[in-house]
Amino acid sequence: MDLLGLVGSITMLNVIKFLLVVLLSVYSLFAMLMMRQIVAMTKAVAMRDDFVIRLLGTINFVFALMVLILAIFIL
Amino acid sequence: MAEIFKAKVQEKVNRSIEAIRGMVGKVGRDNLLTSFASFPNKVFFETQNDAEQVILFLRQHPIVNLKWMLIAALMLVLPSVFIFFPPYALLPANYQFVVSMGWYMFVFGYTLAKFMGWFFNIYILTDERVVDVDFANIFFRKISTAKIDEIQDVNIQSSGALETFFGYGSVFIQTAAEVSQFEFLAVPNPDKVGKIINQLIDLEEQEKLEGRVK
Repeated sequence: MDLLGLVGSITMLNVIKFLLVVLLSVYSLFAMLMMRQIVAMTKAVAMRDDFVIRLLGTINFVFALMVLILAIFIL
Repeated sequence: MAEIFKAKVQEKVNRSIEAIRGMVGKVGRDNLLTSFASFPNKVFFETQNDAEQVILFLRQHPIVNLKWMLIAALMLVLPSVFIFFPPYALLPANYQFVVSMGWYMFVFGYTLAKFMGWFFNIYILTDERVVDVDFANIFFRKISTAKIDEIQDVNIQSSGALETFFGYGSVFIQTAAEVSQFEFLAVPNPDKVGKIINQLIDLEEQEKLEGRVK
């Protein structure tokens, strides 16, 4: 009965929120991998001003985390 | 005694590098986004020897980025079209905001991944070897090297309207090393690259004859 009630209380918006949070979590992991790969590559080949690309990788990761937190709190 | 020997070897190496510098000269632009630069400042790779000098630094011609740049630009304007169509149009405002932010984040990630694919796909020629840094995607990277004296054949290929118009093409280097072929794809000035490789091969052979092998 409780289970049925629980299932009944799940709305379409709950499902969308759940899917968004899962997607954004996976993307955050991907962004972290990307950041680590950039660090590994700039170690393999060091270039002038290559901090710029490391900075872009970090911005991508921070952006992904921010959107994930936003999704958890405002939805 | 050992120090005198080391100094003599270093002197000979410096003389070789000066000879190459005289042959190649300073060509291309030396900045972060360059795709063709000789004797670039501040370019080092992990397995580089102390006395090894980077002669040529190459990437694919910037025009190869045009396709993904257009796709990214198209993706950027898509949210303004979403608003007219369900299910996006039926979502509450806070959901629309998060979906839009997620979409822009995805576009940024796509752009960065594509940019990395170009930026880290590097070809390096040193006075001792050829280095090919392959970066296919964020989960795959490969660094191959072959000594200059292992190079057997150099082929240059430039075909198609774009390659002819923008002056880029591919350089194929057959070697006796473990990696039998190095492919410098879509590099600017392929003729100049081929010429420099041949000059390096000649110099290496001359050094061998004179007993100045590093």
